[in-house]
Amino acid sequence: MKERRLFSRHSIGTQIAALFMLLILVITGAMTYVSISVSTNELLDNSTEYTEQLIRRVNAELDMYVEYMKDISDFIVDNGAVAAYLSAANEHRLTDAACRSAQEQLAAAQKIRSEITAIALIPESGGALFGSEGASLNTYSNYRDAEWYRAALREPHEVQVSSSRVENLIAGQYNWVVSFSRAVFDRAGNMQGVLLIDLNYQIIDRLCAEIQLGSRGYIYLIDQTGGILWHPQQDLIYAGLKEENVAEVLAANNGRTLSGKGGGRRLYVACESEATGWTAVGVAYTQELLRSQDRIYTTYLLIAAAALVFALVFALQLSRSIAGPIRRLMQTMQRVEDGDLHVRSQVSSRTELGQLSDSFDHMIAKTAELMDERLRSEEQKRKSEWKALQAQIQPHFLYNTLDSIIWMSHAGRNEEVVEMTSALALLLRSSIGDGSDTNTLKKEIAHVRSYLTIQKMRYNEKLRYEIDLDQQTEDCLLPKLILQPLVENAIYHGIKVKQQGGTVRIESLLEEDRLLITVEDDGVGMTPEQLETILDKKESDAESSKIGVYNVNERLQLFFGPEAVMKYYSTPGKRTMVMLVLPIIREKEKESHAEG
Amino acid sequence: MRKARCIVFVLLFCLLLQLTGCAAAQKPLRVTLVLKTVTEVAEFWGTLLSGVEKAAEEYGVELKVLTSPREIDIDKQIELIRQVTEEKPDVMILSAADYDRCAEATEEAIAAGIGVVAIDTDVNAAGRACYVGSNNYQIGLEMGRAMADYLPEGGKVAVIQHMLTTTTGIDRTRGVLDALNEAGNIDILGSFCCDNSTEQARAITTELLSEDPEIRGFVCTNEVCNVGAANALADLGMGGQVFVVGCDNSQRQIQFLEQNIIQAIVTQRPFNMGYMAVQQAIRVANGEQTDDFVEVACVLITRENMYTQENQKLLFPILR
Repeated sequence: MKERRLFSRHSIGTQIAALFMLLILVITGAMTYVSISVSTNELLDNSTEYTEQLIRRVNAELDMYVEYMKDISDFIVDNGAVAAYLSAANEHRLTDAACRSAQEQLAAAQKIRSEITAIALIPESGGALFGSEGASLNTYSNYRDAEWYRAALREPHEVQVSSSRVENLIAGQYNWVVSFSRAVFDRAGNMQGVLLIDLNYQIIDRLCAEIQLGSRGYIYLIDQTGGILWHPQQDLIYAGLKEENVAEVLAANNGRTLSGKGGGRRLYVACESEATGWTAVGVAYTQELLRSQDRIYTTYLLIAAAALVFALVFALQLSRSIAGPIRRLMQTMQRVEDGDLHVRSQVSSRTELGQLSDSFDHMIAKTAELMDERLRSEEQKRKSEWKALQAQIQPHFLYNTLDSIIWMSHAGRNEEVVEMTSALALLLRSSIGDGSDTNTLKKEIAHVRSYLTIQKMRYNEKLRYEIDLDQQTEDCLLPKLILQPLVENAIYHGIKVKQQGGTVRIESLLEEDRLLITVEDDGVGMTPEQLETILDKKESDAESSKIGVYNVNERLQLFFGPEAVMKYYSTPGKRTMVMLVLPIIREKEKESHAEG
Repeated sequence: MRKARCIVFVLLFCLLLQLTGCAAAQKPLRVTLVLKTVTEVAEFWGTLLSGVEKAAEEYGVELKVLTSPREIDIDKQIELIRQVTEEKPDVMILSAADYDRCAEATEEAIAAGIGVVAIDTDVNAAGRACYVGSNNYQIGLEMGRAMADYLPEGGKVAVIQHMLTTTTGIDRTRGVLDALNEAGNIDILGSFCCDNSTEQARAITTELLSEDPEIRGFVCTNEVCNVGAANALADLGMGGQVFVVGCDNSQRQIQFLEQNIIQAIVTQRPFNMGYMAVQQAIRVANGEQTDDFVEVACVLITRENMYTQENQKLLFPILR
């Protein structure tokens, strides 16, 4: 029992705490997850937007740069010395002076930008003039088959931008460059030759290095044909040691691609330039884009942790506030169970538990009260039973009766002796009875009749009696030996003292649901003082018949409860009447009543 | 109850620790590269070294490079291997000057707990983790077949071999001879060793041509003898009349290609070779399984296709 109680106490506390924790865990978990995923998407969107802006900026700068190169080429093409050189070369009347002045122009143009590695002017008829001093044509270069040359002839009024290529035009030099080429015309519109401007990657390096896409992010350029034009790891890409997902990036409809997994997950933002046909691709690692997310993440988790700790403390407190009073109640109940009715649970709480405790305490108090009352009534019952026994036959009544019998037998009144003795025998038998503590009215009257027979023989004509019994009342139940003390009282205090004697009249009748029994005598009657004290125990101590009357009332109360009424009416010098108004209990109902 | 609370706090603490993350700084891997030579003469090695350096930089490897002044100085290289054994790096990447003679010193290094990755040329040492290189026999075959293609009617062909003792020299020559024999109508004059010297290759070529003007082609087993043979032809003004097929890749070879003095070269990818050797070295150091032979593919390049998008990337590796 004790173990069980301990267990249940633990289980309530921990169960509440665990449930509470679980609830908070689920709620905070869900909220953290939702917040993080929402913020992740938002961050990613913002980053994509931002990356796209950067890429557009790169494109814009590249476009601007290409425009600038076109301007430079215009400047060269429009130059008189250059035109003179070309026409002289094509007409095979080239002079050193023409070469020198044209070369000076080219050199001046080449010096404008350090990233220009070469400027070459190639006349229709062959040969080449270079901007840099000492550069000579690689005669094996086979340039007329090169794409830059053919493109310039194909679209003679456009400046052509090549992809990344190796320039082999200058003897002994093989550099990776991006080339601008255009056809050159004279005033008449005849094609005179091709102008070539080579750029190294310096400018692209600079432009792309300016853009920061986190510490690992980078930018690369795809050329018109889908090849890689420029890449920060161009060496590895060109060596085939690394690959870039060009096809996937170009295929993405909005220019945005997410690929890779975990820490290598990357965001690709591609943007094509109209002027060059190149596509700039920004690559950002989502891990870096979401770096600020780590802070949010930590904050969320800290909040969640704080909520959990708070919830734990709260849950423990709550479980304690429930389990504590319950335990107190249970301990109290255990003690009550063990018989201690003086304990009180005294849980001072305004909750249901407080009310429960109050009710329980009230119940214990009530039980204690009932127990006391029961003990008291048991005692009284025992006492009254003893008194009833005491009241059955007064010893001196027995002596007197026996004296009368002796006296009558001396006088030879045998018939009377027989009558008296048999009446006495009946009286004794009925007072000993069958062990039950109740009698029907009929038996009770029989008892009274035996008593009156004896008394009448003693008092002769001085005592008369009448018994008027309603037939329907005969089987009504009464406590045993209730009527005899009343009759005795009527004889001793009413008729005996009166000179001319008197009549005792016993009557019973049913009135509504009550049994009415009256014992009336026309003796001396009672003074109002006597009338007042007749049912008073203290005053009755002196005389046995008075004890009898008091006792009758007490036993009626015990048997019927407060519904039983016993009342004396008296007119001094004329008569006295005692009336019993009792609930009707018939013999067949006796058992149920006894049970009740 | 107090216990439960304790546990919860401990769990939360662990969670926070995990969040902050505390990756211990890793000690960088130490790798020593032992090369035959890095000189102007062999552009191949310079590019290979670039690949090694690039990979070392990218993977955060602490790299040390040891070279003998001349490719044929085998004793010097053995000395270098012993020096590496004393220094005890995690991995040694070795390009053996001699397949057999370097074996003993290499085995000593392996016994000392150094992982060995062979690069370009293999070494005959037991316990060598991995060989990163071209399939030299395959290179030989391709050179021989290219030569056979240039001589559909057959003719006399000489092989100029750079070294007799290295796998590159041995296997390539074997491949060339097999391919030429396969063609059926080629008269093989023999293979001539130039001891890895341009001058000697030039001399051999000149001598062979003067002895036998009927010679229709030369197959050269590396850049050095290739350039030597081409120089001889250029000097003699016989460019384009005699076919020259070589291997490796250098600017001089490219110029000779443009000039049609060399007709074809089988180009290896030295940059890739160096890079991949470091990758393998890292795997060896981490105790991962490595393939015995990691092949670096090679490509036949002719005057006609040398400036295609793909081939120019190969011929002119960008070095950043």
